[in-house]
Amino acid sequence: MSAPGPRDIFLGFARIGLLGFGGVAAWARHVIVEERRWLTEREYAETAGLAQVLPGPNVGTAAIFIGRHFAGWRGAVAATAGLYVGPLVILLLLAGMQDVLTSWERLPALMKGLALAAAGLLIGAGLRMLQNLSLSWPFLLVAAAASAAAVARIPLWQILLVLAPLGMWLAWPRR
Amino acid sequence: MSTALLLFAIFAPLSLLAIGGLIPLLPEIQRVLVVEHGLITARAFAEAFALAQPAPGPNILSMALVGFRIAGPLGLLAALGGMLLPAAVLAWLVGGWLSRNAERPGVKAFRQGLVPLALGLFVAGGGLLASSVAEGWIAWAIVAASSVAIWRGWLHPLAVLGLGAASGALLF
Repeated sequence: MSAPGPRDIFLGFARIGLLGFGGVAAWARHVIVEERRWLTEREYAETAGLAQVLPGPNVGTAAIFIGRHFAGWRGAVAATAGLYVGPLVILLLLAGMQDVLTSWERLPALMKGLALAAAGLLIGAGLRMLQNLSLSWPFLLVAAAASAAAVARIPLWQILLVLAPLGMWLAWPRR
Repeated sequence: MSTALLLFAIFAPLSLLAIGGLIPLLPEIQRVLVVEHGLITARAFAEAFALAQPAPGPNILSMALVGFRIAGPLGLLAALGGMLLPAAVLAWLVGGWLSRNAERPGVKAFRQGLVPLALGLFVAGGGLLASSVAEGWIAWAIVAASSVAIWRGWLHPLAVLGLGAASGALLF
């Protein structure tokens, strides 16, 4: 497959942003790995891992990495613009219709159902990653530990401080 | 103009602390904008954040709306630029260094070592989102059905979201 140009990158990330109801992380993986096949499951997981350890919105950081990788600074700008511009326009339209929105009494229930499905998008994507990555058991233990620590509300920087060096040590080539 | 500059100066350093996204940072942003500088009321801040929830896209866009409420279009650009620019520049620099040094064993091990973290945090993100809204077995059944439908590839993610929203509107 030929490398995507700035235009493809813009359109791909615009799709991620505009479909990202209840969060963009699951959509980023879906579009990049399953739909467009720009990255393999492992390449995407590496990119998402790097985005976790760097500050800033995770998919925003991944957009810079992926845009840069395929099309240099034009790609990075295209990915970032694609991710934010469409949703921003929608948000301003919603802000203009605030009175209509707040008067619709079914909206909170609808939003709750949407959030539950969005949680399912993340969990289901995690299960697909688990299947496709075929990690050895020490890595699976690190994944389980990260998951458990995050659910126990341990601050992310503490999780990263302990588990990122551990993962790196496990991945270090053995002689 | 000066309010917009102030917003940029407030958001830019905060964005570099945002490891793990916006949510852990919200109390601090709220404190600085509402208490320290008195730029917006706590109620208007909460309303702007809540209004952004039905909209698609990255959740930091809610801070663009907060900037808009404080100082109009310039405030929007200042808040969004402050949240995005420093982190984007850092990502650009780190991305360049990593690709120039891609063959080093340490860089390879670093990237591969982060894979299980990405996986674990993906699943945990879903679990935390679910537990923050779900009460009762119907809610958990929606989470479980959505997870399985995605995992087995039975439905397109958009269909899953649509079904979730529809069942929410009907059942809750």
